[in-house]
Amino acid sequence: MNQTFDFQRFLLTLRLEIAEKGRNQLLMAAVLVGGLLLMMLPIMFSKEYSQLFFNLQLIALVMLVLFGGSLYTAQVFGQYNSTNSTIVALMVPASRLEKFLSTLLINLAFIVPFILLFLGLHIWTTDFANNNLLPDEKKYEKLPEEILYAIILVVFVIQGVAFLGAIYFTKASYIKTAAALLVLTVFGATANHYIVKSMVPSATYLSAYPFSSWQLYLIETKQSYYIDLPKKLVGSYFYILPILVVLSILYITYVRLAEKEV
Amino acid sequence: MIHLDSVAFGYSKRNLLFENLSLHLEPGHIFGLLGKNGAGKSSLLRLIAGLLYPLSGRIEVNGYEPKKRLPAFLQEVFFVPEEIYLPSVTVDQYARTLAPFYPRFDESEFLRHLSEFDIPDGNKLTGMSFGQKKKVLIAFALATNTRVLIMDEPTNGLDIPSKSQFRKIVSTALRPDRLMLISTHQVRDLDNLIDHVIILDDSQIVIQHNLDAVAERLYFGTRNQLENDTQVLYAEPSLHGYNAVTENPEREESRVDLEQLFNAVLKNPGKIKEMFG
Repeated sequence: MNQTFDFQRFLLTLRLEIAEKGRNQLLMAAVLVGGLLLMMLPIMFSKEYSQLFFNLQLIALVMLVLFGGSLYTAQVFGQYNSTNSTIVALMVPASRLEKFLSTLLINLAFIVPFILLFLGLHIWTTDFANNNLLPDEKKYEKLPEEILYAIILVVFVIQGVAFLGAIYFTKASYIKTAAALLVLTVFGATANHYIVKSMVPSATYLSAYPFSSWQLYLIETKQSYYIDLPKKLVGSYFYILPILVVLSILYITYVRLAEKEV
Repeated sequence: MIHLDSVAFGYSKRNLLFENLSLHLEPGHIFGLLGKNGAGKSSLLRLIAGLLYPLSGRIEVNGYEPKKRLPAFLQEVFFVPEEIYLPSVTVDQYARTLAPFYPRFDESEFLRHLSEFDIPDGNKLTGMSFGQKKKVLIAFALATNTRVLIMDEPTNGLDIPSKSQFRKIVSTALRPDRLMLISTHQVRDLDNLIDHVIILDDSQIVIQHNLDAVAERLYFGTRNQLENDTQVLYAEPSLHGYNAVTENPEREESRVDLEQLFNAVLKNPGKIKEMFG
């Protein structure tokens, strides 16, 4: 029998995960989907353009897809939250890879359809609402494709971080992960700012965030400059970096799970 | 079956709990691991189960290195922790989802143990008392028929009738290819159950022998007085004088009293080590 991965054992591990956590996760998923529908559908029932209903969809994106989804993910390693349940989870006769993949699969089984549901609802409700508007009304605009793509990437990076946080922090993992991410982001942004400042010491107004363009105001020339990232680099950043980040986070999560002691 | 060679372990590298610890346990026996609270019993059991990793030395259980946690290893080792966790499912669901992981799981044996422990049918595990949950887990553990069964303070939370039931059920579940390792600080709970005793004191294994060897070297009986009796290793007052553990140069037969043995070992670890060395 293969000691790293065996499909039969993997199915058993999945079944065990569903038996233990399925009900809670289903309840949480129902709350998130219900909330999403409540925020996405009102736009369809107005014959006049409503900025409020359109904003509701954006709020749903941030509150439910980004943060609600990550709250869901933060619960996935619940079996490792206490000493007693960790012992049970570690002693289940399945490989570390099977345990990791079963948790990941159950998480993705909700998160991916949830993101797709948001995208589908956004496109469908916007089209429906535009058709329903009175002829002279201003039309709703769908989020541009690049923005949607960027959102999907950000969602997956945040999901990955929540996934890692769920195994890294045993107590209050969501809050601790959010705090750690915030500290890391502030630290990264500050460090980036100072590096740029040291490269252009004479600039007074300076806006420079990691992986983005710079905005400078040079006193000597009394002019503002906008320095964009090279197009080729943007493409690489946009497509490869988030994927690499997510894969790295998943690998770290796996190692953390494999090395768990209790 | 269980081999520990020169194992060092500590929760920090500067403060070691075990140093140069060696232990060899063979199947076909029920080992009682005795020690005071904090002696390191649970840590030792967790090292054997692969839940903790040694800092140095080698641990081998049933031919596997526990820290690798290979499925083949886990299929043959069942660990009943002191504080138990059971999911919010019924007993049937619990068995249905977990039993397929254990190739030699015997459902009829599980049901028999449940009925011997007086566990009602169809109840949710979360609705049960701690003692009932523990009995379900012990019944399941025995029915998995793993080669190694480790139980950490299994009688904690069991009432008096359940404790005697526990002894009866566990003793009948022993097979020649099976090893049971049971830790407790409630020494009397293992009376008439274990055939080997391991006593841990101050992170050291003071004694690791079968009870016949213990009875050969030590005598458990009563003494009218203790003055000038250099053979007495431990004594406690009783109705008829003193219950005492003494050296046994005459090889007199007596029944090993685990509690007195435990107290004698804790009182004279050096002397006992010398006698059993």
